[in-house]
Amino acid sequence: MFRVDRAQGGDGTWHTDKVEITNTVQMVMDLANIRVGWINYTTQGPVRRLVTLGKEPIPPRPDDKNAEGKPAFKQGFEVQLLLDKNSGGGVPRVFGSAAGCVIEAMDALHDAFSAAPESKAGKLPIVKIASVQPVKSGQSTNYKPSFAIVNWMDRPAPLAGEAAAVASPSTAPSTGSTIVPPPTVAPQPAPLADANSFG
Amino acid sequence: MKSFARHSPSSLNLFSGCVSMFVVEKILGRRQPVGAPAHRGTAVEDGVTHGLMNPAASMEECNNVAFKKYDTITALSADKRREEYRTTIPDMVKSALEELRPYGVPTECQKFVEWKPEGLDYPIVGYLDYHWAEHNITIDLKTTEKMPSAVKVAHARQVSLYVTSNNADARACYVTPKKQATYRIENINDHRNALYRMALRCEAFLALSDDPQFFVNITVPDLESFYWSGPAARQLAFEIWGI
Repeated sequence: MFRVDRAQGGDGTWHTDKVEITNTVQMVMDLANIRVGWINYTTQGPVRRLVTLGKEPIPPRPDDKNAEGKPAFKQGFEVQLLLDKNSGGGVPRVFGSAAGCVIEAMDALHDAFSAAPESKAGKLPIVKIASVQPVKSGQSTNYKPSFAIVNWMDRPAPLAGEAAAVASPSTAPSTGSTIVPPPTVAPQPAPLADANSFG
Repeated sequence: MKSFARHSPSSLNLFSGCVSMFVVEKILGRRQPVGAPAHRGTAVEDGVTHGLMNPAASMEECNNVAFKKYDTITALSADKRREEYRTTIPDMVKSALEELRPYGVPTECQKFVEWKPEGLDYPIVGYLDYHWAEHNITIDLKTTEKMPSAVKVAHARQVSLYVTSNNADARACYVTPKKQATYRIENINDHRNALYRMALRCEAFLALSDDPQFFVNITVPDLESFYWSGPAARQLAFEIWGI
C-alpha cells in the first residue's frame, strides 16, 4: 500500500510523492460507509459510479467500452480512512481498488466488521495489513492483502463529517445514460361530428 | 452587483467555466456574438415546436418555419459556417420530430421557470422546452454534431431546474443530423443542488464590489481557452484587459 501525497515545488509545479506504508500502516476505516460499484481508471483519473453499500441500490454497469472493446468500468470499491501518525496521519484519505484480489480481501474485512458487535455500536475498526501474497492473474501479478482488525474506536471527527453528510452524494452524481422511449399515447378520440362536418 | 438580477443555468455554467467571460457578459454587459451552431439550435427548435403543436404539419412546413427563423437570426451573422449549418436543419427537424411526436402534443412550450432557494439573493431562472402534463414528462431539446453517450452535466443541471415544481420525469433529447436519442436524467436533486451551490459562489463573487471595473481588475482571460478563440472575443480581451 502506498500513501500518495501531492506537493508543490519551489517553482510552483505540483508533483506526486508515493510512500510505501504496507508493513507499518494502521488505519481507521469507515467501513460503515464503504462505497461500491463501478470504476473506470482513466488517464484523467478515476470515473466512479459508486454508491454506499447497503444504503442505495447498486447501479448498472455503464456501457462504456475501452480501446479493446471490453467494458471500461470494473467492479470496485472506495473507503475513507485515517492513517495513523507514523504512516503520515493527516486528513481523511481514500483507499480504493478494482483489482479482484483486493476486492476479495476487502470483502473479508467487511464481513468481519459487520459481524462484530462493535460495528453495531457505531464504532470503527482500526485495521492493519497482516500479510500480502502475490497472485498471478494472466500475465500480471497482483498483491492480495490480508486485512486484520486490531482494535476499535469511536468514529473520529474527521470521518464524522462524512457520516453526517450521508444525505449528500458520496460520488459525483451521474447525469443519465439510459435511453428512454416515448410513453404509450392513448389514441385520441375523433372529435364529435356536428352540423358543420357534413356537406 | 446592482446590475445583476437573476441566475440562469447557462450563466452559472459560464461562471464556473470562464470567470473572465462571465465578467464580460454578465457584469460589463457585452454579449458575445452567437455562432451558427447555437442559431441552428434555435431554428430547429422553432421548426420542431411547430411540428409538435401541429401534428398534421408536413415536414416541409416545419422546415420552412426553421429556415425562416435561421435566416432571420443569422442575417447579420459573420460566422462562415452559416450556410453549412443551414443545410443540416431539415435532417435535425426530422430527427427531433420522429423522436418527440410519439409523446403527443406538448401541454407547455417555452415555459418560464423560477427557483429561489433560501440563501440566494437572486433566483435561478430558465425556460423549459416541452412538457407533457398527461405523462408528467419534461424534455429539453439539444442539437449537436456528435451524439453524446450520456447527458452532459450542464444539461442535467438545466433540466433539473425545470422540474423543480412539477417533479416531472426529466429527459434530454439530443439530435444530430443523423441520429436522435432521449436520455432520462438521473440524480435530479443533486444536479439542482449543484446549481444552488454554484449560485452561492457566484453571489459571493458578485458581492465583492458594486464597481464593474473591480472585477476586471481581479480577473484575466486565458486566450487559449475556446471562450476567447473568436476574433471578437480576442479583441474584447485586448480592449478590456490590454492583453
